[in-house]
Amino acid sequence: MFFGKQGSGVKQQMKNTGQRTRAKHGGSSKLGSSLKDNLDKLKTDLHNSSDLEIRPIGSQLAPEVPMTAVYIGELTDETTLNEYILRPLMSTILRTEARNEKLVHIILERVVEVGAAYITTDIDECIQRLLDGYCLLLVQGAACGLLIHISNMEGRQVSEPTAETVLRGPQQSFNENIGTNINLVRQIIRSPSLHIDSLQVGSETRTQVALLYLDDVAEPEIVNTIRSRIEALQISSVLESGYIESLIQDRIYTPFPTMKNTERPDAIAGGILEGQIAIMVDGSPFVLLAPVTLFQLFHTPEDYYNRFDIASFLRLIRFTAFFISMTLPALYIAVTTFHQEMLPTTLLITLAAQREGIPFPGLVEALLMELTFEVLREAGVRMPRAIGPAISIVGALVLGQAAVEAGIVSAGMVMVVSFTAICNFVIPQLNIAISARLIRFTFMLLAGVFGFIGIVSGILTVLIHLAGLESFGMPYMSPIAPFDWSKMKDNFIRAPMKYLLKQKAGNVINRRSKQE
Amino acid sequence: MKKRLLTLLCSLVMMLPLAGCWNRVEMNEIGIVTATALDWDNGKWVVSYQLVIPQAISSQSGGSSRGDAPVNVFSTEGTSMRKAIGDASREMSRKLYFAHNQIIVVSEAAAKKGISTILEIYMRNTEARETVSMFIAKGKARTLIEQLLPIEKIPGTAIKQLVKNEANSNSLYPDMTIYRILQDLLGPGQSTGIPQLMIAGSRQALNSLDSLKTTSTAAKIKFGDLAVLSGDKLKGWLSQEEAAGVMWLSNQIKRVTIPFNCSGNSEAPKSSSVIVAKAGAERKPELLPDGRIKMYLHVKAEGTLLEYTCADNLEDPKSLKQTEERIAEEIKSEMMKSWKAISRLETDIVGFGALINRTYPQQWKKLKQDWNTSFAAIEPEIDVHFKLVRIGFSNQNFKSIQKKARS
Repeated sequence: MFFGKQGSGVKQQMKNTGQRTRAKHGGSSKLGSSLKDNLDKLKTDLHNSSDLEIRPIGSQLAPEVPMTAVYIGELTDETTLNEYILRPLMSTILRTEARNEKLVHIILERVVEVGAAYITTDIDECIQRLLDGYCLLLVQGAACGLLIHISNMEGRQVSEPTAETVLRGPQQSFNENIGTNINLVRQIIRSPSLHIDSLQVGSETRTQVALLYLDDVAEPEIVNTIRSRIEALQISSVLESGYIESLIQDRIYTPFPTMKNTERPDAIAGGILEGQIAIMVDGSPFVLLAPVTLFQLFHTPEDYYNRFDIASFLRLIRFTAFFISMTLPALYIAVTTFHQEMLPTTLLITLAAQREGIPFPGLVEALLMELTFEVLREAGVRMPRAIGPAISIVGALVLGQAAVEAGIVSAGMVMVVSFTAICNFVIPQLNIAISARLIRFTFMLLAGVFGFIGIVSGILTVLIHLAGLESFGMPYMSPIAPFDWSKMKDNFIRAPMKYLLKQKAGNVINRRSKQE
Repeated sequence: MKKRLLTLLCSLVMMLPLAGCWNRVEMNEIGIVTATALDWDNGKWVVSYQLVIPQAISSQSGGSSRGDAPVNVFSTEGTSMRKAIGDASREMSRKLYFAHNQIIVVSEAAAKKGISTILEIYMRNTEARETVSMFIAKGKARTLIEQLLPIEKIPGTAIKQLVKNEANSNSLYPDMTIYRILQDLLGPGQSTGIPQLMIAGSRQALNSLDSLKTTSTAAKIKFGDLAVLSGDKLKGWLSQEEAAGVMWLSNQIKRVTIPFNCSGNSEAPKSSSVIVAKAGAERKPELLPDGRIKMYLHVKAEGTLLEYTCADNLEDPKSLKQTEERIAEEIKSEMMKSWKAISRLETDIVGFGALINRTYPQQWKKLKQDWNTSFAAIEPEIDVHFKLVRIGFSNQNFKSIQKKARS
């Protein structure tokens, strides 16, 4: 019931394409000493792409030696190329007798005015770097090339977070550039022990994936698990961190996310400081955080910026809202169709009066309204912004008010559905909010068939499932199961900062002494 | 894994139609009964139901403006109660739903015949609740559930509120719910007292909405006497004055207003009153060697002075003491009056039997053979201690102060 089949098909497809691309790149892999051969090889490998620029250079350095700059025009920054590579090369007054490889070394050491540059002999690497926005400088007679970083990747500026807003706290979010994202985290954690592991995933996209963790706080086993799972991925493309999430998570068939994703640098920094591991994927502003417990998915960074009493209250509200958004329509169905005796008499009569003349049974009525709402919600996300007001009028007036007035659904049901929907928006993590929505439908069916017995057995099933989940070796339900009193300070409630900071510092010290 | 999942899913899906929505009842398929009446007529049980018409009550559908009556009363009859209820399906489109039944009114004739069949039904069925309050009516029980009450929309619920309010704020009549009646009738005393529900005022009934259109209603539903049941049959009635002391004797007083006069002369009007806020009785039986039974009742009560017409000044501890003694006497005389009445009826509705059972379990075995006669022969020793904890803002009554101001 709770298990979607999403993901497995995608994985299959990726495997196939992965094999194909590897076969293609199987040929020779070293640069030769002939400039023309090298250029031909590059052209073939890049399928004569029209944006591959080949610029011959005559340098004062060694006037008779032909040189060529190769780059992909759309990926590179013209100004850097002109100012710091071409101009120094062409107008240098330096002359040298060195030729071939030595000449390349001299160009690297004395001419090119760009920081990130190195020499390689591997043609595959050259192609990859060209696609990363490097400029490749080839010299006649040298069996190597000089790769110079002049990439200019288009992207957004760092902007305010859109999915996770806070009233108090830093107002910046990650963007699609992994460099910027690492930069944002580094700005917060200026510690030498902040470790960054770079990996590359996807045979076609060659997406850069970075693991960020504090060397002396994060559990090495978990770091190794995550790293080895990412390294073992055989896929052709990674377009978003969701790919990585669904491929490395512990269990596929569960509605509950075992990783947290956030676009807030402060949330990531907070997680890293507590020993979690951040997984950044180039091209996605959503950074993954693992391992997480179920309860951590209800925490927001703002909990730590507010006063502890307010933060604790809001946390409790969130947990309650989660429970309500899973069970309220089911409870309503069960009470109105099976257990009328549970309601106070006057409430029962009020509800009964609303239901007079409603043509559908309670379950059908509830499913109808819930589905309507889900459709409205999906429409709200997909539709172009300009149509927004029209949809909200149709949704609110036509479907809500008119449905009640026409006697299709009862007013009580509309209230229940609306409150359930609002409760769902309280949950800070979208992916756990969605799982509550899925489970809600199951519960509604159970309630419609078995009444409270159905709901109770549903809740038990979910609890059993949750107790069996793990997030990279950490029990999903901790610190409730297994119970850990010391962690309760920052679970359902948030204790005053005084006690929390002590605990956090304690963690670091413990791990350090363990290593020694 | 996949196969297992598929089997699991299949079996779950197959379960849904199997259960067939089990015992689902939609709310617009049930008729909510808020009051039941039981009459005994021509050797048959006549059961009447007060059915709520939700639309007429809910403000949303604007039913009351259409002038629909909020309830509908109808009766069915049969040789057994449950058969009569079963027959209701022949004349009612909806399934009768008793879980929200608030009160049950039993006619005198039916009570004389015996209420054991009602109790039997309540003990056996899950839908019926033991929190239903029972009343006895001197005439036909059905007329009582046909009445409308001013202010309230659902008469059944309103009467339930009425008795709750009475039990908490005046303690003259107990709220006799089915489970209390069961406790009493199955306890050592095997008897109980149930309030009478009556229509006071003119005989013009309150059974149409038009009768509520005036600012005062000609008739009113209220509590009358206290019916005394022994075994499961009605044995007699206690008048309101006689019933007053029963709550004291059975130690059930919560709050009660007691009127008294200054002189202690029983002829003088009782123009002062005190409200008892806390009361408790220590009841101790003693079996004397000669076979007589003594019942010691130490009542301790405290209360607040509500009105005071006596001339003396309460600043004086002596007169305060005197007043307290007066009130204690008043309580005692109420208790004696009730005692006389219940010993006349020879029914132990105050639970003395249970006390004796607890203190003298051995002797009780013999006593219970003929408990009703032995009960009537009990000699109660009542002593009451009353404490005035608050006398209010003034020490003297208004007239004395006025006199003092003049002089």
